[in-house]
Amino acid sequence: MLIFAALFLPLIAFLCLLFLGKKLPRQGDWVAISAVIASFVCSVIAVSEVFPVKTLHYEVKWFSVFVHEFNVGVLLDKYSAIMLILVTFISALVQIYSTAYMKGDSRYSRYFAYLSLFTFAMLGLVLADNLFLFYFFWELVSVASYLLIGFWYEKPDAYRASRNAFIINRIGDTGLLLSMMFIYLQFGSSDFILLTQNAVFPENTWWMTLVGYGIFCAAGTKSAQYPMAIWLPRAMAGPTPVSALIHAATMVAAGVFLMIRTFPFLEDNILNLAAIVGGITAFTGAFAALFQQDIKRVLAYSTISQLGYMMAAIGVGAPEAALFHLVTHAFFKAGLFLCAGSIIDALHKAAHHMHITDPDFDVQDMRNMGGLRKQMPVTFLCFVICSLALAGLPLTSGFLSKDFILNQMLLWSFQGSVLDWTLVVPVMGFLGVLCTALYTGRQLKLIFGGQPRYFALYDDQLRYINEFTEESPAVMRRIIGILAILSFFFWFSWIPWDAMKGWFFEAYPIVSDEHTAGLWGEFTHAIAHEYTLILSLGLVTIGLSIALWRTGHPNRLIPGFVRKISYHFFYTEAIAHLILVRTTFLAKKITSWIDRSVIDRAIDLGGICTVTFAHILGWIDRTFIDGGVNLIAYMAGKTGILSKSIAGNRIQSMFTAALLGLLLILIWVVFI
Amino acid sequence: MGILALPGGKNYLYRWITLIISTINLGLSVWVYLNFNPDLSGISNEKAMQFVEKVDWITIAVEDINKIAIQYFVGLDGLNMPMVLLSALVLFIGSISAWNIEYKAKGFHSLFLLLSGSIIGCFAALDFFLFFLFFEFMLLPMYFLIGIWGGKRREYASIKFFIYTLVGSVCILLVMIMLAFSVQYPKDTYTFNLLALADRANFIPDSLLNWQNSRWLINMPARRWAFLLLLTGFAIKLPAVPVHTWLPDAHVEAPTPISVILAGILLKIGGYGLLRIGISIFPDSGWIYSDWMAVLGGISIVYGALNAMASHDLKRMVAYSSVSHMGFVLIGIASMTSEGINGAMYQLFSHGILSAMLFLLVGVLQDRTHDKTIENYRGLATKMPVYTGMTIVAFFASLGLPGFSGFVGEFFTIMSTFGTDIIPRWVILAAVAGLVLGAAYFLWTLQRMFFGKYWSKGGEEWAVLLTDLNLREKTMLIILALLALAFGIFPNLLFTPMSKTIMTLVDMIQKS
Repeated sequence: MLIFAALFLPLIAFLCLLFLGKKLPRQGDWVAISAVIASFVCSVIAVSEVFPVKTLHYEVKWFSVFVHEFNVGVLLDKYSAIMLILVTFISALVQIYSTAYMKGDSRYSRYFAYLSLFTFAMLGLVLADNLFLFYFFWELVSVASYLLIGFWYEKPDAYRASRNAFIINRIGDTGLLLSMMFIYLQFGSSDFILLTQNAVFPENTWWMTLVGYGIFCAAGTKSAQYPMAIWLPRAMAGPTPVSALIHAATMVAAGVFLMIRTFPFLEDNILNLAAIVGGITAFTGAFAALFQQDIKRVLAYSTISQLGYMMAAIGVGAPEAALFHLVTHAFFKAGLFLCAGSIIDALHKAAHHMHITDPDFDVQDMRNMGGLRKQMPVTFLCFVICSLALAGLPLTSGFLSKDFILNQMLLWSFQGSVLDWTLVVPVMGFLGVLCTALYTGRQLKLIFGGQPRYFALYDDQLRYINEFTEESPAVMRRIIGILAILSFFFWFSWIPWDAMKGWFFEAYPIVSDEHTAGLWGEFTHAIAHEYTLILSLGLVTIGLSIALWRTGHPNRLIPGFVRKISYHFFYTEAIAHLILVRTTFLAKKITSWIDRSVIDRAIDLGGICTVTFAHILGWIDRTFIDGGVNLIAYMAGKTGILSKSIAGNRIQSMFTAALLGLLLILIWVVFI
Repeated sequence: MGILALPGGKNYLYRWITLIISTINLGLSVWVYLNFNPDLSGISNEKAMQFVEKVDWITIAVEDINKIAIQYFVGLDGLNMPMVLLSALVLFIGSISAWNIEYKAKGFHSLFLLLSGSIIGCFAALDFFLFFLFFEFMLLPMYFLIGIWGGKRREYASIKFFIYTLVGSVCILLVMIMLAFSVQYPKDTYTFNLLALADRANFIPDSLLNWQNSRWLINMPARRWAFLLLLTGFAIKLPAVPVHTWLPDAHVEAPTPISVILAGILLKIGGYGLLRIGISIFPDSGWIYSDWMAVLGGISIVYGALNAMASHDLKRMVAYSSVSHMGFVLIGIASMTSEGINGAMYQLFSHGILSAMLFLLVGVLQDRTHDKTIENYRGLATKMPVYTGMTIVAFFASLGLPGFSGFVGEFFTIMSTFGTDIIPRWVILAAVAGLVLGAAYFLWTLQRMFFGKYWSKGGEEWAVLLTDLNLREKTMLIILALLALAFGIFPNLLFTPMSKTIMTLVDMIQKS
């Protein structure tokens, strides 16, 4: 039952904060935090009982329609176990961090309410035992994300970004919705256990393929794969801890998680697609991060790129590797975001202190930073550790997981012939590694290296903003410290260069271990491992050194259009805008024109015609028919006068005559 | 117990009486719901109807031994019980929201009660004649309620509403006349009994509408004509594109409680009537024209959504969103599967709750500033936080968020289209596009009106007027929100009583 406590505590906290929020002491942040910590403890105990071999499955009947039975249940297996701990842990850290970061915000309690709602939704998503229930939480996660991105709804950036994120995700979700319907119609159930273990899948049926595409569509959107990723960089308009929790560590990983869950019944062509799209995303994301100026945008594109690696890992048939990278990435990327938050917060306070009123001044712009290592040593240290994990330097967790994925990519690509389209994936992967090293080095140097850059007038003197910048509060420092420590290798494997020896792959043994390639003879895991090691280390070293050496110097090598393409993420957003928004707006204009000028005009015209026709009829009525009637009446009157004169004006005799006539008629009718 | 509600309401009725009667009405409906036996099928089996009241009403002898019998015959099965419950709920909410009608209150409330009576009568009626009578009786109070208590263009709107609906009624009336001499039940008695009409055994062998399609009118069997006429009649009521334009106008001009009832209940008669009369009596023709219905539904979904996006008036936006949502009902019915019809019924019910909520929300603005132009407001969230919160709930529920009732209906209607091959495949795409567009127009409106820095066209004057929700408004909205949530999380609340009846109906369609 601990598992239910873990699931519902955040929901209770959400309801508490929503209705009582402001009345509670400290605006109720302790409610949310204690709920999530309790949830974490419960998860750990629950998981320790089952991990890694047993599974826990509770299920009750929910409702039924016709022959379809819908159940609601909780499934705790090794996949949900690790996610459960990850989500509650990161959520707890982020919420504690937020007490300092969001201090003084006018809707402080509402913020924690939304975070609790998100945590609940994410836990539900992780624990759901069937696709239908999964979809419920999948959408709820989107809503929580919508509310949190748009948390500062006065800012146009924020509310636009939140709307975009929701609608783009909605487009992807329809894929999942349709797949789910197919699955129900074919199997009468969408239970994960049934689908992954017992069901017999018809090979290569068109609907099985469609189901796969649908799932990939949804997963790719939520996990920000190219080109659906355009919502993620904009989502950075939300508070930074939110970016750390939702748009780096947990929610964006939900798509990858969905692919892992449904992996057994995804067909080969879907997996190939995932591999290609993942590879492209890994590269394009990293490439786009190269020339960003906003500290959070760099991290956003970097997240896209890392998610690309995860997706590609699933595509090449190593979902365990994807899960591994998901976990390590969650720690170091959350760490990076929270470090960025710490910097933003510090600069914000400094700017406030200096009374900077310049509307163009942006605390997130890295061009305004520089030399911060002296003022913020703890943040600096943590940022460096997490960055190195991101770039994939040895001794970090990122090195373990990313190299493992690259390794799997190579193995997969060298199946069969070496030089075919499958080579695209590892090539993209390694290019991504280079770009990652480049932007990481550039970011480190821009923020912390060199000298301060931004100065403003203070007390009639030009002073650098760094002079007023202080290291962030202790709470924030501790949290980023924890995340930085978690980015080292020893949490995952005792041997810093081989993930296979660690606990993770003991718990999640990888199936596709040995591959042989026809052309190059024996090509095993070990050989691939050596290649990967050499190649990636070389690339990282080159990338980091170039970045650290060249950043800050005028750029002669790279032409302007490349920078522009990178900065605008290959203009994907503009193209999507053109295709989706413009066409919709055009269609909307057309339909409203049809409504007003065709249908209503026709109806009004019909009305006018009827009325005119009625008038004509009325005229005919008055002139001819009434005229005729009048004529008859006139004639009758004249005849009356005539007969009156015959009857000699005696009314009695007229009446008697009439009665007599009537009697005669009656007699005639009755008797004859 | 069927008429529960025909209020004795003639006159001297003021808000309290309306409210009390609506409450009693609601209580009775809930009692009926709780005592409803979900194992009885209904549709064509009189013994399986519940809460039946049957009295001979008009009997006319024709020819030698035959006679026409019209009965006062009401009763409930899984098809109309949810509708009666919904009507009682929405009327209850409507009676609360009619609280602040000051102008000619007496007239308003008497018409309101007259309307309530006919609505529930219409849903409960099991005799075509009676159904038609109530159907027409709704028209009259509605006409006056819009025409007298409406907005600026109320006369245009009410006339348009009247004419549209009248055309629909004429179509239905024609079918009724066609049916008049086609069915005998029991023998030697021409009947309008809907249950008897639904049983093919009761059709007279050589009659106009018998099942062998022996009579043809202008290249088509008479049965198909009859179904098409019914489809037209109910499509106007539903409404489906292209006969929907009365709805936005009527809504924009109607006072809030009337909008609530119009969207919450009256539209439902279109869907319900199509099932109870169209499909039950003419399942064979329904089968033939199901692709037409599906296409109409698909077009309505996309067209309505696009028009909602193009609207500048908040109420017009909500009205078009109704058109879009009703498209799902048509698709569900067109699929002729159990999932589809269940989904369509669920969609009807859920839309009743949600559209009531949406129109109440518009009413809040209308009451305060008499202006419901979307562009005239910005950043209302800072000014009216509770109102914004309720709007967010209503919008998300309406755009089909799982957990709210709207999702269930949409899910099963779309799912049904996969389960059947009588529907063109692109209709599925239209439905799915509708889901995305729904999110788009609702969130876009939310963003334009509620987010950003506070600003309004009326400046200082409006700033004073725009106060947050009062207790009455909060109560109504919270009740509806909780209902939407309850029916979203526990779909069995409705599926259990409905499914047996619908299964019978689908069996009947399959056999035809």
